[in-house]
Amino acid sequence: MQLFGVNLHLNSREQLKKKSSKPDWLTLVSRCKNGDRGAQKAMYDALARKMFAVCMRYMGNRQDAEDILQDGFVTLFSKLESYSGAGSFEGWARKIFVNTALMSLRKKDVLRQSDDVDTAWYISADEPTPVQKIGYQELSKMISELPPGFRTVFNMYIIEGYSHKEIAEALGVSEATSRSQLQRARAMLQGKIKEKY
Amino acid sequence: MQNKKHMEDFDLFVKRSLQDAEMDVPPRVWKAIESKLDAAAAPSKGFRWAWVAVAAAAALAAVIIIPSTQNNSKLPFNTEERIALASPIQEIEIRQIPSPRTIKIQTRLQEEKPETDTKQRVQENAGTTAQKAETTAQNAETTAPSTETTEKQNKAELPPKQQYTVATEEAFAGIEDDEVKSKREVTRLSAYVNSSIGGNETAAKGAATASASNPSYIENDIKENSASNYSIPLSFGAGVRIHLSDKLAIGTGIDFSFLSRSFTGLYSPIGEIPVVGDIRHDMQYIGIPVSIFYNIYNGKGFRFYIHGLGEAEWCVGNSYTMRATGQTVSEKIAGTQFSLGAGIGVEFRLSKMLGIYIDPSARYYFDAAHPNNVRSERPFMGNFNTGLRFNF
Repeated sequence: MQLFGVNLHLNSREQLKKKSSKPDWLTLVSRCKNGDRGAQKAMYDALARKMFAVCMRYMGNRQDAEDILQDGFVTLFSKLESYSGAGSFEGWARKIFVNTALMSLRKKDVLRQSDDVDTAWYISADEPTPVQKIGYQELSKMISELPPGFRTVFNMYIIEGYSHKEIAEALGVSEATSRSQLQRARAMLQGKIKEKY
Repeated sequence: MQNKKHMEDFDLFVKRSLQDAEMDVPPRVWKAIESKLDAAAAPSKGFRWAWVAVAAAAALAAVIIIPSTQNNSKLPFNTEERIALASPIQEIEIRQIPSPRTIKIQTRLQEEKPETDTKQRVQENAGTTAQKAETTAQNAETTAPSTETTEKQNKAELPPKQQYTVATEEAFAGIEDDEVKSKREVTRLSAYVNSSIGGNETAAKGAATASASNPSYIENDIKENSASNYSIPLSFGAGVRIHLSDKLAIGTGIDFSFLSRSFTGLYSPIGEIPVVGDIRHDMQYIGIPVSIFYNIYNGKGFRFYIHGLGEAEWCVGNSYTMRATGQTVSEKIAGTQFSLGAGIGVEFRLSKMLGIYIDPSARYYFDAAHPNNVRSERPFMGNFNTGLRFNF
């Protein structure tokens, strides 16, 4: 699939094939800790595509996403000592990229730029959103078009599973603001989908 | 209720759709990462500067100490050494002069020189001893009044050798006086306790965020979103000073320094709940200074001097405190912080043993690749050092 000039591979045979051949993370981590450049490349190859999609979701544009991917990997390699081996390595790595993206968004102070967005007309009616008609490609594009503050809260809550308390502390806003932004982001996204389908 | 069900379904659909999405990554990204990893693995700039600092300090010490040592070597430091270098003839002549000073020096000679040597010398000079004894008797008579005038007259009347002897005695007397004077004015060893404050302004403000020359530690988890407010650095220390001469002294000891700054930032550690808000960053250093002092003026109640200093410091504490939650995170920092400085100073003598001193100075802190602090932000700083000095 083609999205924003890049290829998306979702639930494809290729992706399933990759899932079946998961790398031995502990061995890779151990080698990377010793500065083994080959192991670092192997770890990069195993994670980069998925983490790039994460970065794109948060940053909304390719250039910023590439920057976050670079910074995230440099951080990842320097923080491997703190990985205890317990839990999913991929999940641990994903948090690094999410945090790196959050830092960048906060630095740009874009998270507060969504307050004046009028979402009243997006409030959904009591009927299901026709999601079965929308493709992943289209869905990603619509999320990337959300205002940064909406998009960030939406990603953190819906995809990463943060609580509103955690989001509020991370972004320096109140829990009420986090709830409000999520609701408005959801409504805006549903409205866009309904409008199109 | 129905609406909530629709909302949950929608959320689940989005999550399943996007959480495992993948995208092609252009090759330039890995190349950029590789270059960043290579840069991080290269020896830090601070390490090279450290050796420059050590070399400069050694050179400075050599320039000051070597000429001073050469001057001192022209004249032995204490009387015993000076006597030991005197000729045997002078020693014999001294014995023949019955003055209290001669007796004192004679006693020292007898203690130091083997008896056989003395006997031999006496025999060698036997031919002249009788004559000298006669002259000495005359001397004894004429020096009885013990006035300066009569001593000079006697000196004029003595044979050349005896004149030399008297001159030597006078020289020794002068040396002895100098030594007593020296002991009175020059302290061999002193100890000090001090405190100092450094910084160009009372509340310096620096540029925000970590720079490339300060690689990340906890900084990986902390994003600085504002300029830092730096507190004035404080130091406390104690040590000793060894006086090489009445002008020159070297000193060393141990210092404890406290640096602090605050900024607004986001702390988002891996696997923990992110925190945003005011963050206080505290660093503590223990250092070993090596100083050189040169007295310019040594007055009755005070002395005025210049001094140079080199110091190696090690970070023993580095912590970030999130004010919103009170959470504190800390970690060890490797690497040595080197600095060089110079200044002027004045010490006021409160008593024979106690003095209070004030040393304003300028100091340069070399890049140690430590987390951001006032020294990395402003490596050239003014310091104001004050303390008590105990002279022994």
